[in-house]
Amino acid sequence: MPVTVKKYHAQRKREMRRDVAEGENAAFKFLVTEAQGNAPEKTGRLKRSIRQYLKATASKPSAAARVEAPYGRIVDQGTAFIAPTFFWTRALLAMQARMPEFFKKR
Amino acid sequence: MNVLDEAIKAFVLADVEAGGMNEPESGAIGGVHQGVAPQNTPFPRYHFQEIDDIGIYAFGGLVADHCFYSLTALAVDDIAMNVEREGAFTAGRLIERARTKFTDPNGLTVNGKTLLYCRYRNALPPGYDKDATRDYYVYSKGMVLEIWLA
Repeated sequence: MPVTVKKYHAQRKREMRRDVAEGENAAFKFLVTEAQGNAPEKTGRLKRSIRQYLKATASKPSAAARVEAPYGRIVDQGTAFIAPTFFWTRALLAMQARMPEFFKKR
Repeated sequence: MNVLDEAIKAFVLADVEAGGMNEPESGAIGGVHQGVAPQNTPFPRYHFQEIDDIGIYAFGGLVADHCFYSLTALAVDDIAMNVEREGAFTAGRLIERARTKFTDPNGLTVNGKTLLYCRYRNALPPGYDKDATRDYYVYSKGMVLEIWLA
């Protein structure tokens, strides 16, 4: 029956959007945890400033995370006078390598 | 990985032809350093560092190393032979040269390993760091290289 198929498609679409959002949130949670684990700690400000500031939802499936400490890039990538630590870059590479795991049907 | 560190350093130093990474006139006269260079090392120079080395296994045996390296060219404004060379331009020229050489399939060789491929992954944001003591800016341009070794 056409009505049933239509309903099914709408429901499936909602489920898929929810799955994508869940996968994205899992990926960004991993990124934040990994980056916090890699980050050097003196006062703890850098570690605390790493956070996911945009959470994906079924209606808006996009997520984002950032390092809010203004010196985050310098600590990550270094300068001419400071060696890099790559706390963020390493976490990002690890997240990208594991991307399929986050989107596996739970 | 130590052998790869050595290979990268030797590869940069060996490129002494015209326009090369280590050409005596306009190459990286400050050399190539891991992480950070000793104080008072001249510019331009290269810095490189391992970002990650992921082991790829088939059952219990290591079959490949999936490595990520950063390579950055650093330069300052200078005047040579009455021609002013902008630091940002020099850094860009050196990193472009490095990209060409490192991604050449017949380029990099690693002692005791088989290089499957070395490819450019992404650029690092350009840097402008002020050396307050000497009152000049140090310009940097860099890239991330993805290297597979077996």
